[in-house]
Amino acid sequence: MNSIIDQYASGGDKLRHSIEGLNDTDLKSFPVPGTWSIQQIVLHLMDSDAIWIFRMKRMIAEDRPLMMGYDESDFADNLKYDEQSAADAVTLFDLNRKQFTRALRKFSPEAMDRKGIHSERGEISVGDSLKLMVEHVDHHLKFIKEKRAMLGKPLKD
Amino acid sequence: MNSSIDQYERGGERLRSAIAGLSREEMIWRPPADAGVGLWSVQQIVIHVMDSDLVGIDRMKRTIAENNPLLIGYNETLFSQSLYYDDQSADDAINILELTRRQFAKVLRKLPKETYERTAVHSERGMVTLGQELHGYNWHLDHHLDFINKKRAKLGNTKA
Repeated sequence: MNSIIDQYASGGDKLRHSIEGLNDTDLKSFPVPGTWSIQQIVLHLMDSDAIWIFRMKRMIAEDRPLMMGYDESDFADNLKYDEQSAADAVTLFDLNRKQFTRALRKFSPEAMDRKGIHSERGEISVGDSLKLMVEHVDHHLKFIKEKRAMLGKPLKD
Repeated sequence: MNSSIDQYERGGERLRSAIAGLSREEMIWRPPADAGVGLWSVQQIVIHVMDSDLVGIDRMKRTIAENNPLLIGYNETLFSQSLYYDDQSADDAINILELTRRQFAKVLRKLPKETYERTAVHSERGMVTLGQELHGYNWHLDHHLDFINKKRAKLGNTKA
């Protein structure tokens, strides 16, 4: 299980690296029409990660908790994502994961099989959620890379 | 509402100042029941308010963005028993609380007055408005800061 936890813990560094060298105009522009700005992606990842950390905590601490889905488009439309700070969002994302990782490394292997009931996805375990969170960052990093290329500021590896 | 948002945003620095000068031993000291200052250690309180804020901000965001969302209560006692509160970092907990509140205060300040009347349904408390949630989280931190002060008095290490 250690490697998935390590991947999870390094998500903040990956996210920080992915927006390096972008200014406010870059972050808030829409290089791929009809899709989110990089700013919106970063704020979405901050919001989504905070929710999932709380969900995993409930799966560990409670008995098959019910976890309500949320509408990410409603969040992006109504929560003033352009007024928030992308840099602070990345710091929070990183700090939240590093803090939760301290608990993750203490859990017994069986804890990874503890489950919750998601109102839309159904049953999901802590281990599945961790994998989902690692993939979630990679999924969005792909789009950030594409948008950066369109902005003429391709991501250096 | 502006003064409530100001108070909310200052929560991180108030929490930091509340625990300033406490040693690790003092942080994890569990008061005996007859001390009358609550059963949690200061460390547990700090991680608890971080967790409470994590869900609190999610609840307020849902109240703003969704239509009368259902907010599910959680068991804070089970959290404090199962989530290795002593192994987490109190400093990071305060940094997280401070930065999350500062970030969310930017949103709160942009909302029109009527948004504070938007409602959600809490699985245990019933209907709540955004304004009530914000007041509730201000009250919640004050409540715990009060207990931290009482524990410090018992420890003989009162705030400078």
